[in-house]
Amino acid sequence: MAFSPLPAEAFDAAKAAHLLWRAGFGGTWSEAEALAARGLEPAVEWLLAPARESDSAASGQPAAPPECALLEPDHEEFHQKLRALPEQEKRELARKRRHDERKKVDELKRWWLEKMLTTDRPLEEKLTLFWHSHFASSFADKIQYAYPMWQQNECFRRFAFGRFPDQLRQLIRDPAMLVWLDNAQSKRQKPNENFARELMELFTIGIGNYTEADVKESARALTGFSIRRESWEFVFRAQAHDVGQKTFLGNTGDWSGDDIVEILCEQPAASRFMARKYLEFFLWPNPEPELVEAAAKLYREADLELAPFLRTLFLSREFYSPRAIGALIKSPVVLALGALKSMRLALPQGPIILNALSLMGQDLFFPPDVNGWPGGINWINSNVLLVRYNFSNLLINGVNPETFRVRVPREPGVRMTRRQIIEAQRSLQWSPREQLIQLGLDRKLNDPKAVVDFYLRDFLHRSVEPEFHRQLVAFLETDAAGGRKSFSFDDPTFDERVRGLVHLIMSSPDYQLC
Amino acid sequence: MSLLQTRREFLVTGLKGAGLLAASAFVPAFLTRTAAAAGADKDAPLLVVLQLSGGNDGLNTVVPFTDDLYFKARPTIGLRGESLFKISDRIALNAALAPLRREFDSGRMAIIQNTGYPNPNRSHFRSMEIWQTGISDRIEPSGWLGRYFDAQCCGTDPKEENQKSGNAEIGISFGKVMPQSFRNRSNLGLSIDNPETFLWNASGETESLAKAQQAIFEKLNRPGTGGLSAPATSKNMSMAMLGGMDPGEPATADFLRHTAMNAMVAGDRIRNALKKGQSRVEYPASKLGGELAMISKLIAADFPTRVYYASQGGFDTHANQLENHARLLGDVAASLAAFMKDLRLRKMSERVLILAFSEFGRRVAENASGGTDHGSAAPMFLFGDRVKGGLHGVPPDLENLASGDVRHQIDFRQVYAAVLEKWLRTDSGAILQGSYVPLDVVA
Repeated sequence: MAFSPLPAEAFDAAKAAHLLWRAGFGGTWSEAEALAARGLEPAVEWLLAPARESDSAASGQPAAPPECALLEPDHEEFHQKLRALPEQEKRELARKRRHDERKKVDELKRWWLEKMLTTDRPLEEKLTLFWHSHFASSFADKIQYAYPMWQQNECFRRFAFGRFPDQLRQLIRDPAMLVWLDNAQSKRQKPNENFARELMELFTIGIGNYTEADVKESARALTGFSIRRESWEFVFRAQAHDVGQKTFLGNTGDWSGDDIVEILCEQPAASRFMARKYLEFFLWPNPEPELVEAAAKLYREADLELAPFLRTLFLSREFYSPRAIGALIKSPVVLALGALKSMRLALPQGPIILNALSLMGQDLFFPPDVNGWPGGINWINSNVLLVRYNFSNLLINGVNPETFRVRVPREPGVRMTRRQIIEAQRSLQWSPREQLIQLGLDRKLNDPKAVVDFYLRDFLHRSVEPEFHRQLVAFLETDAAGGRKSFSFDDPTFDERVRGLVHLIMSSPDYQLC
Repeated sequence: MSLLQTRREFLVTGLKGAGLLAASAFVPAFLTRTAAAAGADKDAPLLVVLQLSGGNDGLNTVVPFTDDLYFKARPTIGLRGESLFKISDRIALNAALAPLRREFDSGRMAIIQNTGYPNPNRSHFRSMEIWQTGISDRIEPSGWLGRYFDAQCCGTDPKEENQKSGNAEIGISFGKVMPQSFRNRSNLGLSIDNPETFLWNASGETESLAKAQQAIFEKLNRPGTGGLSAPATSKNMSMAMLGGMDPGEPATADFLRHTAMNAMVAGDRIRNALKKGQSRVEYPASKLGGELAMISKLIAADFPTRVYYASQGGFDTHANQLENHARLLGDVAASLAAFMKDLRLRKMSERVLILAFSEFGRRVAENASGGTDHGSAAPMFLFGDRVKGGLHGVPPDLENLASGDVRHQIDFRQVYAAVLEKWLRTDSGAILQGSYVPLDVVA
């Protein structure tokens, strides 16, 4: 089994829409049409295009952090001051700082969501999201500063399309990761195994491909990979590093971190492990072993570089096959941003979007554990599915914002005031009618069938059963007594009806899939 | 409350607004087979599972305080003096567990020492999977409790498609993710994070529109129907949930429809139950405290639930363990003590057995960060009026370690078998897919 190229002429708007969902965060039907008009190869090249000169990814220079991610100006002294204080005051001061940083990381979430929603490089942001879950670190408990979370995020963005060994070499120097998995304090006298184990189990080759001895030996090799707490910079502490001989995956030498990375990348298990992950994220769940094998071969032939691998995937017949269309459950971030894009809305103000993501199970910068978000069928349970449906009602009708209030202490999320709830209710009153006038579509959508078609295309991008199409049309034509009447753009309840229609589309199991 | 009443109550109150199902001939699967539903019995025994995620350090929870090897291996984090309270000549408990002392002294707390399984795995994820599925020698998608749910509603023959219906409320877990322990073939079990979000509202102000919307919504979310984009076959549904099938098939959409329907039908009842019945006990203001308080209210409302599931994370104490571990254990102890007191005051304590476990214990020797790395065997805990209280098994043998870790002496599935056989009164062999001698821990 291998990937066969899709004939260029087969690339239509529906396929372009599929590509937008998978390689980005969805979009409107007209965006899909525009992408289809570019043609298959140019569309894929646009997604894979290197960043512009000014971008950090192109220049190799680190981007400047947004204000919310800056360390406080007194950060250096703060640490020294903290040491000198008596226990009680120390705790109080540290608590206050944690509280402030918590607020900053909430702003950082908005900063990233805004980027994902408005970027002209959607695949780069989608991959940044992929790496955030693959190399998962959480702000909670150990890190507790916005700056290292941003730093890591920027690192993922910079290496998004790159070579796996390069990515790993940066990862073992990422301050957030080193703190999150306790490597920053690992010393040669007693190495801490946390990072070494997860590096193999979750980040590179997977369980069953290494022994407990390999965990211990690589933990020795990674001693000394540490940080300077005062500035959250990577530092190699030679005196903490174990320079002795180690035997790792059958290779003996005085290995350090970079050697471990090199040996890991030479393992056939690494290409297989990563290929499976990419397929599960971009193609379909539970990819069959032969397909994983073919993808692993492709990845090795690309010298473990992601861009050429993805090019082949996005140009393949398999990627656009009926089996792939609608095969994935949207992650909460994709669900929320996709809805905003289809509704042609900006990111809503206030804490609602952050709370909604947290309640739907994907709180950015707070993955549940080092395994990231398990995804797939795990995105759905009785609780979360109704939260998803209710979130759409909130976006469309401004209904029940209080449901998205966060109440449980110690739970990530922002507390909402009464005033914010009322404001949210007012601000979230989507007007399809005004929007259609602005788009110059008002006269074209005078027929209920055309209205249903328009919104199904914008939101679902897939054909629907004729029976449901008929029922949705009948819904638009419902009269006050429950019978039928004619429906037109000038209907005084046009907005209410269209909002009801879109709420129904988004309250369907089908809308959860992409 | 019987399920028949439940259904009537549901049909009357319906969802907020129009009343889902009232106008429709459709009835969710679990309401149709009342006879098979297990939980309708008011006096049926209940199991509450408490998962301690991250690998609880058994040696600093149940401490062999007379063993020199313990202090040798843990010069800085070894517990002594006021950090402990003694429960036998050789064993003391972490002082953070003091709120549970009364339960221990009155024989309602059983500590099963050195539990584990052959060839221990030190990965959180794999080891948790083993504990949640009860299967250690192969990858198994279904959970041990999920197989119990299946057996309750449908017998143990997975091939009998017609039997796929039952009491969806048989298991309720708290949190955003349903534990793998619950995975089953019959689409049973609910997860609750925020009970307030357990409903669907039609939008719009015009009543006729809301009604029409509600009717279409029902159809979209009705199991076994085509939905918006494709016809579904319900026989594939359960397999999709078990991850064994290509969820790109209509089966995923059907799984989603089942999930939505189960949630909505249970939603009103759960919210009502939680609004009623204030408990007289004050619970800690923690996540776990809140979850146990909700469980107590649901039990008091005679929910047909047989298994409740709560969890507490943070036990992965690789660094600075002393303070963090004490805080976590303190929360667990205070929450459980409040829960048990609450159950006694409500005269429900006889019906409830609590099982607490973690995916592994930790390395005997401390590391250089004031913490401990992943280990293997560790204690399990049972609480309840009918447990055989006290210490089971022998203290850990610190002289005879397996690559630095405590060796297991009791297979955790012997404890599962005891819970299944002696408490839930069902055949453990079929559910655990193996024969385990039940440990003598339930009277």
